[in-house]
Amino acid sequence: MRRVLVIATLLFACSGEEPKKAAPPATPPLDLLLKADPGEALSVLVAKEEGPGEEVVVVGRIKTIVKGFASFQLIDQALDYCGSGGDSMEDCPTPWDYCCIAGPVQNEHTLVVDADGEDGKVMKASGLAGLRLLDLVKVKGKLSRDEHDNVTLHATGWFLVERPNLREGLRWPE
Amino acid sequence: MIPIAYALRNLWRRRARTIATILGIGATTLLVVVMTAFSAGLDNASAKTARDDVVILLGTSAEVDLVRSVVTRGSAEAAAAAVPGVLSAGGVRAASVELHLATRSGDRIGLLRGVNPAAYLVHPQVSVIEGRDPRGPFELMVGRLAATRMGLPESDLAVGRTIRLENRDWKVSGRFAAPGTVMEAEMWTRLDDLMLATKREDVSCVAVRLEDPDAIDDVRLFAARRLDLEIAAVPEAELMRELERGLKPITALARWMALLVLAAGAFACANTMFAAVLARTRELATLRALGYSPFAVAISLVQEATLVAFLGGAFGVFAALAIGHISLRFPMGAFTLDLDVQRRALGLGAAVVSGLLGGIVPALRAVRMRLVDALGGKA
Repeated sequence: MRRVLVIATLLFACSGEEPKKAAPPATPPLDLLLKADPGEALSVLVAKEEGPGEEVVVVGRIKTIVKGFASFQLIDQALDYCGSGGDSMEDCPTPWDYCCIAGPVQNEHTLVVDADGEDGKVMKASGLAGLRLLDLVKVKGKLSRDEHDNVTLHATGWFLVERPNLREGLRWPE
Repeated sequence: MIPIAYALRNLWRRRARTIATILGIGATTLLVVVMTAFSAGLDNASAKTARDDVVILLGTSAEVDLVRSVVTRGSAEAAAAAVPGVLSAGGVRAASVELHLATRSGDRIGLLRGVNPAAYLVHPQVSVIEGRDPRGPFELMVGRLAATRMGLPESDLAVGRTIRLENRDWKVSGRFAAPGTVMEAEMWTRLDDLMLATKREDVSCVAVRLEDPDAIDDVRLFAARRLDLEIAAVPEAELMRELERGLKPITALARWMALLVLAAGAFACANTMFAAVLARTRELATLRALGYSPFAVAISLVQEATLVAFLGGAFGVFAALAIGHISLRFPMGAFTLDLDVQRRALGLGAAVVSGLLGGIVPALRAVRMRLVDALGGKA
């Protein structure tokens, strides 16, 4: 028995493969969930026009959630998602998205929301603490604009305003 | 127990019926082998293409559809240059700007892919097996199954031949292999040539190979934040899963057909054995009168059925071996039907099972007859 253990130890010791360091488990950014409505909010389109400045509140729907990060795309609520048409959109297989609207129009009405960590980089996170696609949210934070004219809202908190009811039995994207 | 020689002698006594049954089961075995290989081939074609370290940057409105994806050339080049975590070798970033097209030559449809040298880094499954990669203007390198995909004889796409596509003559500069992947049914050319020939100003996607597969989330973040590029990051595995989902009805149908064929084999066996039981009612009753138990008689009949089925199965397996490798096409590519040992064993197993199933019912019927009636020929 001892011989077997020794051989097994040697085999593992000589394999030359270092065990992969496990990344710290990402957790949903719970502390960003605001308990109270942050008040009057700008639309996404207006916020993009205003650009960097003092802290603002922006309202919009969650268009895309970035897997693995506390980051999502916020789209102007003036645009209708595919499932918002009620019965007329019953046949759309992806009612949670904006596939019926041209890509450039979507992008024009979209900004990125990041929750930054202490290092200034976007926080790693698993999910958005209960928020999901199409939720209407108010996000509080500061805007920035990069050299490619992309506007990012660095969030300090967000508030769930409304969750749309889509038809039963939908298989939401992962 | 009744000696197995008895079962063999009986089969030889009714050799015409036995041979007909063997041929029938042989055919069903061949079909089971082909159908299971067909469904496995379709599954593999998409599964083997996907690498867990490759991400495809598609146009935002394309969902997960490569054919519908449109990215401006400028955005694609900018993304290829800036996307993080990309593998680099010999000073070349493994970020391949690509244009995917379905093209026609007469009424035949082929798959064209316009690429840059980085494509060979991103898709290491591709290896040149004859000639060379396209370097001169309007040259093509064809996959091993490109001719199958287009329904052309291999010689039409031999190295040095010319094929007319997109209103231009293209010279075949080489052939490549990418075993088990959908790429093997494609024809690769230089991106600029394809864009010029098709008068396209946009491309389909940027295929990116990462240093570490775990960096996929970083690429997703990059794509989400660079709204100006109008791209979305989709892991290649996810893209292939979508392709697989589209093929699911066909693979399911193939599996159902294999099952139905198996049932047909069992019925053929049952039919033969019922006829044998009816023709030998007195003989079987005599065996019981001589002291053989009903169980022993039943086992002997099942042995007969299984033996016929085994011989039929073996015939079917040899027929499958004789067929060799066949290439078949499907909408997004082509694949080689691999009638490997596993499929052949499955076919033989299915034949034996059909013999067992087909032999049990007639055997039960034979031993349930009243001995007196059977001896008097009344059953």
